[in-house]
Order: sequence, then C-alpha cells, then structure tokens
Amino acid sequence: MIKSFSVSTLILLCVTLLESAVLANISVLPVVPDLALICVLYFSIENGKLMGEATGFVSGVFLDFLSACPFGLNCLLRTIIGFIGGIFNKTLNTEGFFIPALLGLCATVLKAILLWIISLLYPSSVVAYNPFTIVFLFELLFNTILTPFVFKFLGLFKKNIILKPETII
Amino acid sequence: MRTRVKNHIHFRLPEFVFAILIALSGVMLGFSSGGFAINFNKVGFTIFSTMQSGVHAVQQGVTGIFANIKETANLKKEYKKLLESLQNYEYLQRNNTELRKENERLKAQLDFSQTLTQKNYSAQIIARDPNSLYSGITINKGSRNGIKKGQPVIAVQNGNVGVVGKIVTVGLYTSMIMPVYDTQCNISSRIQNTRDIGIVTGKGSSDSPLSMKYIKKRVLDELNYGDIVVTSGENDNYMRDIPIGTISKITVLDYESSLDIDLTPIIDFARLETVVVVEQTENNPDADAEEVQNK
Repeated sequence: MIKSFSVSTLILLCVTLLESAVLANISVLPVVPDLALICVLYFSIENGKLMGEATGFVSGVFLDFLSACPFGLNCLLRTIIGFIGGIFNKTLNTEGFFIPALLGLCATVLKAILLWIISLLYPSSVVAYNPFTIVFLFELLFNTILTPFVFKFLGLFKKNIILKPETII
Repeated sequence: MRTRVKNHIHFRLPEFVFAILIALSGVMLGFSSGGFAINFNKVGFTIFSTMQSGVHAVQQGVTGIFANIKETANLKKEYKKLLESLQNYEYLQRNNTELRKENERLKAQLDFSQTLTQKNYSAQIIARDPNSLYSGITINKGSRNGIKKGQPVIAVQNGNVGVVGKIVTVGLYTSMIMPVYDTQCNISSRIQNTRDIGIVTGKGSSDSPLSMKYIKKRVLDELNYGDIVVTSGENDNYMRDIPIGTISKITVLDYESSLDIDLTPIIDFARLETVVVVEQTENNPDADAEEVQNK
C-alpha cells in the first residue's frame, strides 16, 4: 500500500508540475485540462476509498501550493472526489474509451457542483464555475477526451499502482 | 445492553480518514483567508514553486537542446546552399532580425526600469495558474531578490507601460502575481482625460475585458472609446498614472446611478514574458544617478 501511495504521489507531483509549468504557459489552450483530477479518479476507482481520498488530498495540496486559489480548496474538493470515486471500486471499468470518457465527464461535473457548494460556505474567497462559459465547457471537453488516454498511460504503471484485492480498503 | 450498543458502532478506516482529511482541508481553507501564525501556503509555495522553477529550467534546457540541434541541421543545409546560391545570407538576416527585436524589447524594458524613480526588479514569468478559475502568474524572483507581498507589478510591451497586477504570494526564489484580470483584483483608477475616479476589476480571464465601476452617468458625454484609464495612486497600492486599459464599451443601465465601462487591458497577457516589480518605498539608484548626471 505504501509503495502504491508513493508512486501515485510521485505521478501526481509530475502531473501538477506539468500542468502549471508547461500546459498553463501554452496560450493557445483556452483552459488547462485537469490531469490531476483524472489521475485521482483512476487511483480511487482502482484502489478504493482510502487510497482515493488520500491521493485526492495530496493532489489538492500540490495544486493549492501552485495556484492563487484559497489554500485548502483543492484539498477539500479532491478528497471528496477521491472518496466518491472509491465507492465505485470494482464496479467500474477503467479500460476502453467510452466508460473512461464518461467518468471524466462525470468527475468534472461533480467538481463543478462541489465547487459551487463550497463557494456557498466560503463566499468571499471561493469562485464557482459558471456552467455556460467557455472555460467550463472547454475543461469538460478536454477532461472527457483525455480521460481514456490518461487511464491508458497510467495502466503502464499498473504493477506499481494497483493494490492487491485483499489490501483494498 | 451496553455490549449490544457497542457492537452497532463501526469505525471503518476509509470513512475515518475521510472525515479527518475533510476537517483538515476545511481548517486550512478557513485559515487561508485569515492570518494564521504559520502560513502553510507560503511554505508550500516556496518548496513547490522552486520545483516548478526547476521544471521550467529543464523544459527551457530541453527546448534549447532541440532548438540547437534543429538550428545546427539548418545551418548545415544553409551552408551547402551557400556554396550554390548564397542563401545563407537570408538566413542570417532573418536571425539578425529576431535578435534585433529581442534586443529592442529588452532594451525598452531596461530603459524603462532605469527611468523609474522607484527601486524595481525585472522578472521572468515561469508558470501560470493550473486552475482555470484563478489566474496567478508565477515569476522567477522571490524574497531573496527583495520581492515583498503587495508590491505592484508593471510591464513594458510594444513601448507601452501597463499595470500587470500585484504580488500576492512570495517564496524564497519565486513569487505569485495576481493579475488585473483576476476577479479579486480591485484597482483604484481614474479616466486620464476627465480625472473621474472609479474601481477597475477583472472578469477572471485574460481574454475578457476589464470592468470599471462607479463612474457617474453625468460624465457620459465627455467619455470616448479609446480613452485611457490610469491608476489613481490612492491607497498607495499602485503608483499614480500607470495605464491600465482603454475604454472599449460603455453601458448605461437605467437602474444604476453609475456607468458600466469595459476596458481593453494595455498589456497583452498572452504575450507577456517579462515584468517589472516595483518597490514603492525605496528610490531607484539608477534614476538618482541619472538625475545627478543631468544636473
């Protein structure tokens, strides 16, 4: 379990740095795809609730350090998404194209809903998505299209990431 | 009876950890808007943005290597062609033009930074906010270089000086700027011609116009599209008379006493590479020396 968590954390760190130092500097992209969210989704579906919420929290910490958003916002958001993803452990398939794409779409919509709820609790500092803006629609599109490919890529590290069924909590 | 009640209570690890992490996140979020003794954000920002800086350097290095390889291959081809038709001259000329442009850009920035009466620091943008709802810009100068929280950031672009934003987080070697187009950025500003005062705020995206509020309806006739809006210098957040944007749209709303004005930012953020961070409380030694020379 420790090995799986360490490898997942390392992947999340690389993905977060890739997002902020490389993808965010490409001015052609209207938004940066949320690759960290897709990774958390994969870890949670494959490894269950505990690993899902832990990797979600870690990815949130990384993003909070590198973003102008209030510290803790991404932790809260991604811990919840990781936990919810973990509920679907052993019930959803991460292979193929359509199911992962659908999962990416659902995770992005869930992120927007949770962000809206959090913005009600912290109205002065948290900004919610407007679902009819280009920003949200492009992020939804990017995440949906990229999820199957990111899942395929993470599948290469299956040996190091995925827990044995008896150790999944 | 007691044993029975006990048997009904189950502490499952995932739910327990979930509750702890949620509580921890909530507390951190609560602290981030207040003034907790330990600034977790600053500590983390220092560590991770230094890594970010490293990744940027590696990326620049790798890009440089590939660019060099490509350039070498091109030069080889050009040399062969030179033997046939002197085409290498065109390549050199093209290269020269690029260098001249870069030189002009850097010279403009250097000249500007020397003429500023306040002490200032030139910095390069190394990363931008990965979160699409927020718009932090990370630069390669931090507290070690003299950067402090709240300092105004400006830039020179195509010969125009404009406001970029202000410093919101400072790490040891890197800092984060909140740009003018951020929804939480409010700048006290004036319309340059009429001197009417208002507040400029962003709409969250560098592509969206800025919004200027609290300009009375009675000055509508005196306003024109293209009028420049500058910083007012009040509150000491920004220096006086630094251009922010130009008026691109004026909307009159019946139910409001003030106008709703859209501004096009002076700075094109998609092309912005270098910025100048200004220390308002200290004088620029270069500018002082120039003044003495002139006298």
